[in-house]
This record gives sequence, structure tokens and C-alpha cells, in this order.
Amino acid sequence: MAAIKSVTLKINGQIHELDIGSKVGQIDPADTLIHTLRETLGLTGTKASCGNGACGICTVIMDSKAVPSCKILTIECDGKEITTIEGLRNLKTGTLHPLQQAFVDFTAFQCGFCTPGMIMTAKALLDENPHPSEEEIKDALSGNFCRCVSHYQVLKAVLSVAEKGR
Amino acid sequence: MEEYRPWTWKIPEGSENDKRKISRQDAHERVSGKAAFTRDIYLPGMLYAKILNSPYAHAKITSIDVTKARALPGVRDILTFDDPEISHDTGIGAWYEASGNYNILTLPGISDFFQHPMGVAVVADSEEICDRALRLMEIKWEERPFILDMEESVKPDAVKIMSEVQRVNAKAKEPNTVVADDVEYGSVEKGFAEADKVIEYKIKREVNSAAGVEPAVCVAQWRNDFLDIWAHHQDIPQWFLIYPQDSRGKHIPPLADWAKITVTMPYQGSYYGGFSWLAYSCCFTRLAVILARRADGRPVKLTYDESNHFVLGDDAGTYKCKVGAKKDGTITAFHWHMVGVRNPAIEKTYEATKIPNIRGSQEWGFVNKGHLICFRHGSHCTVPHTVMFDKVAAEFGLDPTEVALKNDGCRGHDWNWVTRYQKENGFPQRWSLKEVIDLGKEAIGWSKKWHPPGTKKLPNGKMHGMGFMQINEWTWQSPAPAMTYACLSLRNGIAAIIGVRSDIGVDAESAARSVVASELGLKYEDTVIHEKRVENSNFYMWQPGGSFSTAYITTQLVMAAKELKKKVLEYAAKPTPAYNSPHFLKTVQPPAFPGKKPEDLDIKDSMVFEKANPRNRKSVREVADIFWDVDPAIAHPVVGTADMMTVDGKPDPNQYVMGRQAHFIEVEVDAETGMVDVTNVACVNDVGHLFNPEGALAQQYGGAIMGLGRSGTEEHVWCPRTGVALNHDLINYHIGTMNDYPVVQCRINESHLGYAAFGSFGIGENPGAALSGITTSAIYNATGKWILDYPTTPDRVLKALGKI
Ligand code: FES
Ligand code: FES
Repeated sequence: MAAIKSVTLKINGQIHELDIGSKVGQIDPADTLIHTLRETLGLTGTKASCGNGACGICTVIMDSKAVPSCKILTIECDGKEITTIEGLRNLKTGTLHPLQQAFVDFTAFQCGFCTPGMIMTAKALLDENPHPSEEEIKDALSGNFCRCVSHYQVLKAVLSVAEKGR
Repeated sequence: MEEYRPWTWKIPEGSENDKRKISRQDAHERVSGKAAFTRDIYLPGMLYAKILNSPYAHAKITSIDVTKARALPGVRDILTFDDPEISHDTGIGAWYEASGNYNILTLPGISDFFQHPMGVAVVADSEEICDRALRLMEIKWEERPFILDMEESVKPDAVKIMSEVQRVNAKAKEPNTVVADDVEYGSVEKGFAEADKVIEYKIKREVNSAAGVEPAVCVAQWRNDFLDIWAHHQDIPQWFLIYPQDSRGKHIPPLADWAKITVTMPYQGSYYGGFSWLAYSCCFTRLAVILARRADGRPVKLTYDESNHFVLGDDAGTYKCKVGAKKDGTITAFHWHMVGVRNPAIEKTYEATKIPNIRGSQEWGFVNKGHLICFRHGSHCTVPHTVMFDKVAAEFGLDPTEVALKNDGCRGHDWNWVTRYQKENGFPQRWSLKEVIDLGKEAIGWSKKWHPPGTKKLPNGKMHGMGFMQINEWTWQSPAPAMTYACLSLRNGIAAIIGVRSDIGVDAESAARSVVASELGLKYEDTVIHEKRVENSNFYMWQPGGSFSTAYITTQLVMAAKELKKKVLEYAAKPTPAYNSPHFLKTVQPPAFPGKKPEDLDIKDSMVFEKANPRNRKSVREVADIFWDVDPAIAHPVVGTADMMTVDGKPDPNQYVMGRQAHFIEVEVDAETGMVDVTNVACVNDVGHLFNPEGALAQQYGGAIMGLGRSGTEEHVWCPRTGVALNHDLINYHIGTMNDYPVVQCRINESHLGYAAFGSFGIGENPGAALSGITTSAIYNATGKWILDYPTTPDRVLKALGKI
């Protein structure tokens, strides 16, 4: 297979065509998705913590699935559609996504460092299963680490969205 | 002089309800990905820096060849430990590191523990290039003997370790003892002689970690001789850039003039303090500044990996305990001999009991596990406290809650004495411990569920147990010393609280807004936190995200708000002077409330009104704003200061800690597997006065789960043969997530027994430290067996049950 020369990513509805190489602004084959998001594209809403898939803090949605962006190489993402926390708001009106609003309403965060990952994991869950039970929510979010322990309010926030339109 | 008794102040009538609808100013940013943490600071031309992590527990670099690393494209600078610019730099005075007991070098050439950031720092165009360059270093190491067990370390014939680390405490002893201390109140020998029974036991704790989520990071940039810093830190770090001394005791010139340093504290990802971590982050900040100084004006971002967050450890130690008690549960004396960090661990028990004879002795020795102190106050004192009450209760077949009440008091005084003290000094006559125990017992159903140890088997075959502990919140329950100030400005009817923001998430800010709103008579939404960068100032509004946030700042804020309100009402009653400007008033304007005196007026819901005729009203904005350009007293900050606490206007060293906290858990123990399921948790915190219900709740949840983790699952594991840490990562270091614990039943008590405004003291330290010994209590109740070797993991349970 011929080596690919560029990767095309659709991030938050926008197409990014990025050359592969080691110059500034290019994608090094060793670059992880979180590196590209934060360092190359300036999308710092996605946070990085453990770097080894343990904490869920770097979660983004790729082709409808919640994935840890620290464990995926950007060159593997060619042609993928990616949503980060920045893409959740209504980009025209600035209105928060109902999940984000629920996190505000239930103060489902303390320091907020894990919050983007929590919200993206919950979003992927609700996209797949709009009305999950409490147990399903807990299971989906059990890979998201929060040292401040905002779990209880997170659960309430996600449940409140899940229960809408039931 | 007006008597200064903040605990007697009352929240203005009617404003009490405001606190029920607090919303966080930072909420939108935190949920939208816009909140910029220090990791998120990117500046034009920024370079990145990383430090080598030692692969050895204790080893000296004998030579380092950086040639290959330097040749790597994108590498801009390499600083090695033996460079004269850094070789003797301690980075920090002894105070921060281990409360003044020893100094660490900013970039040492000897590693003191596995993954010690040391030896060499690389500056490059990206973090990845830094990592690659560090791998290209050709380093020769001389391995040194290491010690992991502190009891071994303090022996007189132990091999000397960490010889380059300066011991600065006068009580340090060769070869490895950092501090040896012995404190006694009363006479323990006399107390033991009075006891019906003297019991002895030993407690052991392994190290646990704060394991915060945002790895350490600091950005530094020089603008000629001006220095800008963005710090992931809970404190303002200028001073250690100013007052260093080198490892030979020589003075090092300040890195920058105090007045030329600007520090920005962005959002902080879960930061739980910890003296050892603070020391590291101080050295770390200093190193970032030094690297930036060499970068010719380009900003440098120095980062650690997440694994480095595990260099902060807490709780390690052993406690040999001897306790004398009477049959009714009255403790006559105790002596804890601790081989562990910090101080002799008796402080909280001395503060919060009537026990007349207390002795704490301590030996603190170096170990090659990272520097260990505490975080979120630490459980060095709460664990022996918890176990002592449980042991005495078990010895005489008593309910541990009764034993706790029997021994409650302050510094050897019983509660009758405390009640008299309360009366004489304007406090309400309340018995906090009784109140929190009653609330907690009711929440968890203690009276029905508690049983003699090892007597209740559940239908699922597991053993049922109930655990309890009580202690006071942080000892310093008073307003801050002079370094804290409150600074308000009022414009457009909005009161801005001007201060350095460094909120780690505990949301002291909403409490501050609530206090200002109620004191000024404004609506909560007419207050804001106005972030100020630290410039040329050693004052800060509150210790950012630290142990004392709310109690520290609210007293000063109330004072400042009272002052500001007085001004607004004065302005409401007097004419507005003319102001000679083309844009502003040319002529004198009549008063907003003609013919009224300030005392005829009041403010509520952001409206100034006439008390006798509330329909005569004008908005604060209308009344006060007109003065903005003519009277700087409104425009400019109003500063409230509070010196150390005084009682009756006199300095008072005796601030009695009268507030108490009680926590309860229910467990099921599987005697076959050793698994302990926590099925019910009730936390009752007396906060003195509640400012921010959601903030308090968050501290209870967060602290309870952290405490349960420290008690039951969290520990660092080292390879005994190599000294290599085996679980410095979030996969193998067990912290509970969503599925692991039940909902915590949180109860708040407001006794108003603190020394700060409205009798407040706080909450943040307590649950995280207090629950860190509680699983033993419940497992004993379930099985009748003691596990005094923390954390109470399944293997330890099985060992206690004689199964392995
Ligand atoms: S940073 Fe990706 S899972 Fe932790
Ligand atoms: S809110 Fe701080 S780590 Fe989750």
C-alpha cells in the first residue's frame, strides 16, 4: 500500500486536510489524535491527562463512538468524522447543547478538567441510546475518571436529559 | 474600638435565601471547553521543556553525554544538573518542603526515587522532541542502596540515603531521620495508672496519592527583566523566585524583582495541595523560569507527565499506640509513637477531646519513595484518632459513638467547660459532636443496624458491618492573617470582587459572591468575580483553592462590603458634586433621597429604599454610579483586612476548635474473597455557617470517595528488589469511578462555632482525611477482626480472617 501523504479529518463539521510530515503544522506519523487536536489545531477543549487510555479525560466522538483520543494515531483517522467539546454548542447561536446545559444546571463538575470527556462520553451514549437507565449511564461513564468526584451530579445531569421526551 | 467578633455577626435579614440559588460564574466555560487550564496556555513562539525521569530508586549520574540529543532537529537547549547556573540551586527555602525540615535541589544529579524528575532538562520545539531527546541522552549511573521502609530508615545503623538532601531541622538525626519529636500534654504515665485497662496495638499505612488529573505545568516568559508566569499551582509562587538560597547556604540573587513578576493562575485541574507536591511544583516553576531566561524572550512551557503526579505521597507511616481507658469509655491517656511524616499526629485529638494526658512522639526518616507529606490535610492524625475510639469501644463492648461523646472536649477541657467558654465569648451554646452524631445516626439507621462485632450475617452470605468516625475540621478555623484581603469595586450596580483566581473547583468564589450580595443588599447576579493577575503584590484575595478558602476570605469580604454599603447610603443622601469634565456633570445634582439621612435608608435586591417608605426606591446603580467619576472611594477597591483572631480585642492564642464532623459507613464483607462492598455512606459536616450549599455538597461527595479510596483501595506498590514503583498510573492505582460507591448521604450542620464571619469554619479538608481510616471500623464490626494495615484491600481482609 502506498504511503498516504495527507489525512483528511472532519472535525466539528469542518474539513481539515493535513499533510503528513515533520514540519510545523504537519502530522507526524507518531502524532496522536489529541496532539493534533490540541497542538496542531488549537482545539484545547479536549483535555489530556494519563495519556494511556486509563482516565477517559481525552474522550472525543469519532464516527459516533466515544474514543480516547490519546490512544489513536491521527494517521489512522483519515476520513473520520470527529466531534469535540467545542463542536457541541450550536455553532451559529452559541446555545449550549442540552447536555452541556444540564451539566450547568446540576453543577456537574468541580474543577471541570474531566468535564469535556464526561460530556462527550455521555453524548455518544445518548446518541446511541436516547433513554438509558441509570445503570446504563453508570456503565457508560465508568471509564471516566473524576478525582473531584462530580459523579453524582453528572449522573443526575445525564438522567435529566435522558428522561426528556420519554 | 468596636469589638471584633466576626462569629457574632449576623447575615442581613432576608438575604439568607439567596444562597439557595447560587450559580457558578465559571459554569459556561467549564462545560464548553473554553476554560483554559495551564496546560491550555499556548503563546506565540512557545518552546516546550521536559525533565528526565529517573529509572532508578536511588542513583547518581556519574556522566551524561548530551551530544546526540543536542543534534536532534528541534532541540533548542539542554540544561544539565552540573551546569553552574543550576548546580547548587535549591529553588526554595526549607519552609515549603516538609514544613521546614529539608531542602531539595531544583535539578539534582542524584535521584531519590523512581521517576524522580532530575538530571537534565531539554527545551525543544515540541514535547515529543523533548521526549526523543531525553531518550538520546547517554547517561552513566551509579546505583545506590535504597530504603523503602521508614522503620528501617530511622534505625541508627541504617545505610545513609539521600545524602545530598539538606537536613535543616535541628532535631534531624544521622543517618536518615529528618525530624525526631516528642510532645506531651499532662502526664501519660499518670493517665495510664488511672485507667481500668491499657491497650496496645500498631497501625501501618502505605503511601497514597492525590493523583490529580492535570499534570504539572508551568509557562514562563521574560520580557527583558520582567517575568510572566502561568502556574498550575494552588499558591502564588513569586516569593520562592525571590528568596532562594543555594545548597551551600549562599544567597542567590532573585530571579526577578518582585515588582516585575506577573503571575497568572489559570483554571486548576483537581489540585489537593500537599506540601511535598507544592515543593516540587515550586522547584518546577523555578526551573521553568530559569529555562525561559535562557530562551531569549521566547516563552517556555515546562511539563511533567501524569505519572509524575504520583511523586506526591501521603499517609505513610506506622503508629505504635498505647491507650488507657476506664470501663465507661473515658480515655485517661494515650501515647502514639509514629514513624512517619509531618508532626506527631496528635494535634487534632488534642484540639477535639477532653483527654487530659496525651503524648505524641515521632521519627520521620527518608525513604526512596518520593517525598511524602500530606494532601487534603492528610490522615496521619485522623487514622490513629479513629482507631483509638474504636479500640476502646471494642475493649469494653461499647457503641463507638458513645465513646466519642464521652471524650469530647477541647484541649483537655470537658464540654461543660466549653459551654461556659461559649457563653462568655458570644458563641451559641451548642454541642456540635452530639448534633452531627445524631444527624448521621439517623441518616444511616445506626441505632437499628449497629451490632456487636462479627454477629450479623446477611442472606447473601456476607458479613454486615457498620463503621463510624468523628473528628474536627481543619484546626485553623479563623480568618486569615494579614496577607489576605478583600477588594470590592462597584460600578453599574455590579459589585466586583477583585482577586486572584485559582479555583481548583471547590468554588469558594460563589460563596464569596453570596456573602457580598447579602451584605451589600445586592442580588446574587449583581456580583462578579473579577480576575486580577498578581502584580507587585504579596496580598491575595483568598488562598487560591487551598485549605482555608471560605473561612479565610469571608470575614474580610463582609468587612469590605459593610464599608461599601455605608458609602452607598451616604451618597444616596447627599448631593452629587459637579465634576469639571466635558463628559460628566457640570452642576451639582440633588441627592437621590432628598432630606433623608443614611440611617433612614437600606438596600435590598439591588435597590436603595427608604425604610419608612419602601416604595421610595432607586436602584443601586442609579444612586452610586453617578459618583463613580467624582469619588474614587466608590471606583477604587475597598480593602478590608483582618489580623489574626482576637477575643475581646486581645490576641488570643486559644482558639478552641468546637465544630465536629461525623461519618458513617455500612459494608458487606465477603469472607471468601475478602471483598468489601461499601453499601451506604453518611457524611455529616458541621461547617459553622453554610455559604454555598452546592459547594459544600461537592466537598462532601468528593472527600468521602477520596477518603474511602485512601482507606480501602489506594496504595502505591514498589518492587522491593529494585525500588521501582509498580503502579504510578491510573490503571493500576485504584481510584473509584461511577460504579464503585453508593450515593453519599450528605448532611450539613450549622453550629456557628467557628471564629470567622458568622461562626463559619469550612469543610474541604475533613471528609477526604476523615474517612481515610473508616473501613477498618466497619470491617471490625462485620468480622470481629482488626485490619490495622491500610488500605484494607481484600488480601489484608483474608489475612485478618486467617484465610491466607
Ligand atoms: S488522557 Fe486519554 S484516557 Fe487518559
Ligand atoms: S471535576 Fe475535577 S476531575 Fe472531575
